[in-house]
Amino acid sequence: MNKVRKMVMLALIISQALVLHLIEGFMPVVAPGIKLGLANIMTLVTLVLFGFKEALVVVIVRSVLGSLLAGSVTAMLYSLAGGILSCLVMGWLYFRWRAYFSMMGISTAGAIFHNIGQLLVASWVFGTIGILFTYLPVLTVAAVGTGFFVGLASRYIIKYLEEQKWFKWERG
Amino acid sequence: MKRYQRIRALIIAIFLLGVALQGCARTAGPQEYRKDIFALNTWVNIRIYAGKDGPDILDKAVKRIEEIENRMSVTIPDSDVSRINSNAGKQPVKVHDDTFEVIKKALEYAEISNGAFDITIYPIVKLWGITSEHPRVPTEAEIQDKLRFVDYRNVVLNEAEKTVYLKEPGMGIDLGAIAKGYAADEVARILKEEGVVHALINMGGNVMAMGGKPNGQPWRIGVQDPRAEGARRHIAIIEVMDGSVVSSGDYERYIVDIYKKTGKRYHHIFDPSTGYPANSGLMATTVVAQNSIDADALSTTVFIMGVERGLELVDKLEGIDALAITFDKKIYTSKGLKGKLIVTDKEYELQP
Amino acid sequence: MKVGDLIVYIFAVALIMVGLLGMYAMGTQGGDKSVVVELDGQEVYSCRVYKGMAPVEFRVDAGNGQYNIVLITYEEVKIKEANCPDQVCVKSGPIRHAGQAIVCLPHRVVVKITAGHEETPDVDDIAS
Repeated sequence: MNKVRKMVMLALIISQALVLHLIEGFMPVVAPGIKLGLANIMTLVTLVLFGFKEALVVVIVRSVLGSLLAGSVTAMLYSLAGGILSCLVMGWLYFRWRAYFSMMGISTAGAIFHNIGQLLVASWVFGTIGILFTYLPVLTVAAVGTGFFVGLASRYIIKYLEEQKWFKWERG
Repeated sequence: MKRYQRIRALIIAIFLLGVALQGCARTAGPQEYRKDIFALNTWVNIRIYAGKDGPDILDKAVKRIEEIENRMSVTIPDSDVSRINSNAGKQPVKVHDDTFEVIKKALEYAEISNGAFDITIYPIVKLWGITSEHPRVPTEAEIQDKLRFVDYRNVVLNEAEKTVYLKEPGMGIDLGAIAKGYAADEVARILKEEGVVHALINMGGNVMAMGGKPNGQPWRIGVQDPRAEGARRHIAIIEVMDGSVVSSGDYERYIVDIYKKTGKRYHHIFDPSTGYPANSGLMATTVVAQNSIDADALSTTVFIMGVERGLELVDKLEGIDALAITFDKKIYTSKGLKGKLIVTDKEYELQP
Repeated sequence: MKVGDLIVYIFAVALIMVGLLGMYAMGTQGGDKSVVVELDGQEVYSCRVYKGMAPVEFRVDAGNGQYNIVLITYEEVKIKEANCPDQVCVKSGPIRHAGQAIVCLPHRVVVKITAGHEETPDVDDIAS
């Protein structure tokens, strides 16, 4: 795939991640800034179709833009910490242990670490580790749910894109 | 494909704009404004919650306090009070309405306390000079000599002319035990007129609370530890939405040298019946009332009268509560305060 | 389900346990305690906890009509009521020991028990 096409594809993916990121902001699940990680769908897709470096770029750009558009500095910190940690874990699992994991397994691990990253930042911001313990159980249960959903969605998106002739051609 | 993406971009843009605007639309509520000034011989602190005109409102309040000080101070030569005192035994003096009101109120309290509260104590105050630079313990003869002039019944008020007359030459009045309360009430009145709902006024320990805290909770007013030796520390808490809490005690002003040598406190609250600092077994009293002028006058009154007579008087008055702290660190309360006082210092024992 | 997936789920269960245990096991110093309520990292209220104290109910106003009502007794501290979307703070139940905290992230409120009485005023003003 040539450079420009790749850039355009990544830009599209980022914009979609951004929309997911913002839609998530409307869901009254936890707190301003702390999110379930629906945007991880796009992270995972990028990871599989483009690679680790590209996925990290998607995460960072999405977090920064998303927080600038609707959020605060703390929201950006939450978002970055969660996104990067989740991306690292998913990348590690995908490129190293792919044979042992389904898409859902990888994305669930990603979702769990997405929460851990955010909670660590929240603990630091609020100055008490109590936050980590208080929210860990609830968010982990939620992560299992979203993780599964994110994995499923990613699997279909990847499958669909890989079946597309134009994409295959571009990829080749 | 291109068309489709353009529409999508537009939708995203509108969506993002909405989100961004929502973030900006946070409106600012009332803000806290504070003012600290030195007036009425004490430290005055006003805390209000208001809009942008907060500083202007505070300026108005300060102006009013200064006005009251200029009329009621014994140390300002052309104040109403100074003029009344210098014309004692000579002629009635025309005074401002607020001076007249305060003196009238003071005489009412003198009446109901059988003279325990008496503004004509000034000759005794001056003799001891507790608040002056050179306080001293006078001789018995000196005290008896000045005590002759202490009698609130020799203050003559003329309601129509708004004049005040002290019958005997040598007499004098001091509104120190009531003027701060009046000033606090006046500040509260001005704040209310200006639309302020939540405020906390502290006139040298006379606390006037308005409207509870902005979060709907009552103001929590501490009762000063009478043995904190200058530190601001409380031993109990009284919660008030609207009302005044005033303490009086032997700890506020006293002859420090003598206290350091002998442990005896010659303090600034005098008993009009003896001419000596009140010695009713109390370290301090605190009075809670709707108006600060009542709380101010009564805290002094109860301090002079002691636990039994003082609290009995308070129980008779409607809407007034009090607590008295004895030397053995026991806290006695009036009926209305039972179950409401939160004692925070274990050394002090709340009496049932 | 693959082996790895199973490990992920076991990990999730372990995390839930750690969270629950951590909530209860955090710091257990005895002695004098204080309760501190923070909003946005700013202390908005604090009080000493001692035997025989009258229960204190404090309402945290987090702005925009958001509130949490904190109930402080000698035995325990809890958030009695709140209008936050997740209700985690209410459901997390009471805390009892120094070092523990209740957190309401949506309202940016932290209620924590600290060891020892810091010289922070628990009154708005003092009548002296």
